[in-house]
Amino acid sequence: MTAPEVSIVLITFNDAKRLPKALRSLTRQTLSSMEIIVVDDASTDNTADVVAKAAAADPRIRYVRLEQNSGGCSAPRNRGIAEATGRWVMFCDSDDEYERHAAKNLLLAVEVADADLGCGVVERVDSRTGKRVRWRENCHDAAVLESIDDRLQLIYDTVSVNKIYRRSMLIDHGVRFPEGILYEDQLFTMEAFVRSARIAVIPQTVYYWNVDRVSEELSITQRRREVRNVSSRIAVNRLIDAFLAEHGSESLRAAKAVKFLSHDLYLYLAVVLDVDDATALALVEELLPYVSSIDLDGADELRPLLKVALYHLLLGDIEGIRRAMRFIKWSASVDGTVQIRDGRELWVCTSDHPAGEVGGHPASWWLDVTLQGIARVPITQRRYCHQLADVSEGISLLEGSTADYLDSIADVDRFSLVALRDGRVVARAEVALEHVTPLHWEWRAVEELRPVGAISIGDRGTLAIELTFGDLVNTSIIRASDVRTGTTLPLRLGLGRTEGLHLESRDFGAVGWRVIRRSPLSLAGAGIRKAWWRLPGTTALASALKRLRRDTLPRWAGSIGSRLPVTDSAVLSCDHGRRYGGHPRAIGEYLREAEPGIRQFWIDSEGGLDLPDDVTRLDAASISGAWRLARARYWIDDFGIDPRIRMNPRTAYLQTWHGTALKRVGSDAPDWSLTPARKRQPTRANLARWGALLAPSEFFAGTTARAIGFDGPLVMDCTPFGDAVLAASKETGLRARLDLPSHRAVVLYAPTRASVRTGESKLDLEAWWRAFGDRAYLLVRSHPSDPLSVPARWNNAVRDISNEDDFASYLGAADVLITDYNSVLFDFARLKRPVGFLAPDHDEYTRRTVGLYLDLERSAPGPVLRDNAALHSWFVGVLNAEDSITDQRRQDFIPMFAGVADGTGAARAVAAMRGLA
Amino acid sequence: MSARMIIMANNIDEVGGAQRVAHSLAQGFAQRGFDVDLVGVVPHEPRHRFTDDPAYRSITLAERPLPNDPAGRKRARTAILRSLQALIDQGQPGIIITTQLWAMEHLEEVDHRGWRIIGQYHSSFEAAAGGRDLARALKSYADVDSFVLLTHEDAEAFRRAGLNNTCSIPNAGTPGDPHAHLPRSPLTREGSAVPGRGLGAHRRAAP
Repeated sequence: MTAPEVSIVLITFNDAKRLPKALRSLTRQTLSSMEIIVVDDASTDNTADVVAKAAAADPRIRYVRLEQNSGGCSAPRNRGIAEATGRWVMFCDSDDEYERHAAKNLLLAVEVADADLGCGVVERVDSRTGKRVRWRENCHDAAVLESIDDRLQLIYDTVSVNKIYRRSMLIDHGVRFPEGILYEDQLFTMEAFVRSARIAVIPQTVYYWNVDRVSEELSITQRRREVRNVSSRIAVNRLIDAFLAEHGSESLRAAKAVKFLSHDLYLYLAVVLDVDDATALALVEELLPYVSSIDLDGADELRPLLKVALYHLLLGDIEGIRRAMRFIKWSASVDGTVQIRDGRELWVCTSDHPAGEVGGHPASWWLDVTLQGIARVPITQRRYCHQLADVSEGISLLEGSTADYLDSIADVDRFSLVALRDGRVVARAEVALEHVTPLHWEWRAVEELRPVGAISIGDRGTLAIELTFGDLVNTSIIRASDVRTGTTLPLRLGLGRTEGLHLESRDFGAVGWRVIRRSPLSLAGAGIRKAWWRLPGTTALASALKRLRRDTLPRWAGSIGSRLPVTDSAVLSCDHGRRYGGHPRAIGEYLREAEPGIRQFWIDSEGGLDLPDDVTRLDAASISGAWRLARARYWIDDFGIDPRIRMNPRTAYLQTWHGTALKRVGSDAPDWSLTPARKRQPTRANLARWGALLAPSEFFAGTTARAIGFDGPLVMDCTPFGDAVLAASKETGLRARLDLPSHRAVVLYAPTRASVRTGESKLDLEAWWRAFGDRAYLLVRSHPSDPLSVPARWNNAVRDISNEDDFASYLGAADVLITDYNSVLFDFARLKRPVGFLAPDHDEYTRRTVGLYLDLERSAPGPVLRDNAALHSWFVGVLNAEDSITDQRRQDFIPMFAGVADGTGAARAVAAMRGLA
Repeated sequence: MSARMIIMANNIDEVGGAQRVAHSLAQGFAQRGFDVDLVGVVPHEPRHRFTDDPAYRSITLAERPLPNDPAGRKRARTAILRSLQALIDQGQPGIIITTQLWAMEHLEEVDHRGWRIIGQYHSSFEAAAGGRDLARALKSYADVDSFVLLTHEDAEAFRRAGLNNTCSIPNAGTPGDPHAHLPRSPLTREGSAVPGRGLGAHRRAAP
């Protein structure tokens, strides 16, 4: 028999239960030329039988048993290497699985590249939920590397199981797992990386790492608290350092030093946050000798507050470590303050620090957090560090402390404790404040939390402190290292009805709450309800009632209402009732001034819109909703109201549409012929009801209006939203109202909807934050179908405004727009301010797939930027007022494509509506 | 005895690009020594003759087009799966190529242990993502030995969407085609694609 291509070494110890699953993932591989060597670390269960049974079905399986249990992974894996006969070796653990095509994909990559090592992506699988997360995928873009020096981030990929190794490379260089030590993978992978002549990286998932997240979290923290664990990690690092001293390049050694600080050390510093002082001290003592012995220049590459924590480690100041780590672990909460010196921002350190250098650098180097820009965070965006004091069962009033962010607490107009649900205040309590140390205030609630909004049994949320500074409000979540479970505060929901507000821990140290039944009345009610549901037929009855309430009766209401005369009312809707904005909002605002006699209803499909007092919320699927809709004089909407909703023949329906398309839409879109007629948007039933359509420009009329198939009357050159943007751009005090910085360029990033949800931003937000955080303030408006996450740690320079309804004001406030193909371009272009088109996929997009209505490179009021580097250099030019697109082109764009906004859009829209009625 | 190969398409009789590709593959593999069955799931009238000298067998699983009523469709599907199973069970396992998603969705339902399966998709990723095809492809093609797309970009896009078995091979060229450098189709007759419909239509949308 010829030798197999690949030898897979599967190690196991007393895991007969899970072993068959791991084995099956190997025998099912699409690659067939392999041997599977099961190395049994002297199990005492029936592992041997399980393997024998599998081997009977698949002759590629071999069983090797160690004489004595080795107590680790190293000895069995080394034995596997010795037993292997294939040209290539891979490793697997008995509790994990290989992806079905893993061996083939890895083998193909190393053979094509003639590499000694290939590696792919690991997915961590939560064994309870089955949820998969790609692990460290950022260093796994497809590549063939001549050496590890070509992609130093790969050293963060320290597991041995997602790789394929040329066996001769392992043998020739004696690369083996170190025995008798934890973290054996780290040394093995580093040696393999360095010894390999070429490395092939593939982006595919190759390995499923099954983790029980809950017990893992517990056991890992448990283990990290153990001093033995720290010593083991440090021992491995010393071994790696010794190996690299002989065989590694200088850049690799530097990268390894940064990796130790940013990754290994970080884990222990984070633990310091959660343990008592004695454990923290023991950890610090174990870490210090090694940390003091290594070159700390690399600390400059760390996140600023991690560098500060490291400095406090060197000083042995545990409280200082904790304060800095709170910023990192608690979502940018600032437990301390900064001072500005010579234009640099320095973290205020309260421990006695030595006059001389520490770790080769002066205190001013360690404490420099300028990049973080803590002093430049706008007031509403600040993350104050509010910490809950220890709470115990039976208390009813909360107390805690607040770090004095830039000595600002004394300026607060109002300081209250609030309970938030989905970002809204639902309960509130006033507090008493006391300034205890220069850095900290203590607060104590003087009353129980009183409901101020709708709050009921089962609701969940977080606790926060609301600080009012004039017109601006800062709401920062209250956090704690550990909320003692079982603490329940009283919550008065009505006369004589006191329920419980149960406190619990949430992610990032947040203090959460849940409303539980406490009053005798509601406990009894729950009992009755439970008994009721147990009666036969009650479920069917409930669903019949629901059908009656949400379907039959609304239909009847619509049917009757639509036969009666209309009333002096208007129903407005934006984005299917998910927003309060767009053209409908602009028209509604005008209508309230011009015709206050007309009552306004706004469709609020999710029930959370922030509407003005004189606009009434409407649930379109309810009985009263159907009734109001059927009796409204005007419908004003920007998408298409569900055709099943009855419309009165006397109602004037004004369709505003939600934007001028840049991408081909409707019958011009490539997938039009593939989309069944009932799924085309807008549907024929929608179109038939529109009385008129607003057309901001000729361009809109010739492209969007035609492509969506509307052939009724157009209200030409009419853009109420565009008018609102222009008006906002002229408003004095706009930036103060929106809490935007006055001395930095405000840049709006508004990408269009992606065809597939990716969660990835074309604009590299972190690179932008690093490059322009001091000079620009970025507003991110992502599309609801592909939301981007904006971490709080960039709050000095990046704000997510995706959920803000008053988008017209933000557009008016922006100095610069960055987009790809978003129709917001047309509304911004009228401001004649710089626009950059960040469109890495531009050529693909225009030629091969969707296609655009206008040639960006010829007509757009800004350059097409194909990558982030191009964007950066263009933006530097914009900051220096040397934008490359001529003013002429910006001027021409308005009449040709955007259409002129003259401020009369809403008035003409209303006039047109009256003409329809 | 030569190795068995089954090539599956939704139907193999209609004049269209999908059918041309399927017949080209069948003829090409048959001429290279495979024992090829070309299988259509449903019949289509009139039947187009793609080549004068087929070196492969043509089989249609359903006797007549699918009925419109759900119960009838269900019965027809059961019969289709039964004939497909019978075909697969004849002789030694070999290779199955499914040129279309719907055909793959039938193959999924039968026992094909021992066979190597190559799945194909002839539209772009964007077109798939614009409709229901993406979800269907992610489900049906995840486990096949190899999932073949027309372009490298499409293979990459499907890989990013979660399939680890993607690769790309362009379709065989037609005389006069801009891809004339590609291997020619071995068919002796021309089957022309219907303009503006079917495979590759989306690629012509942009100006």
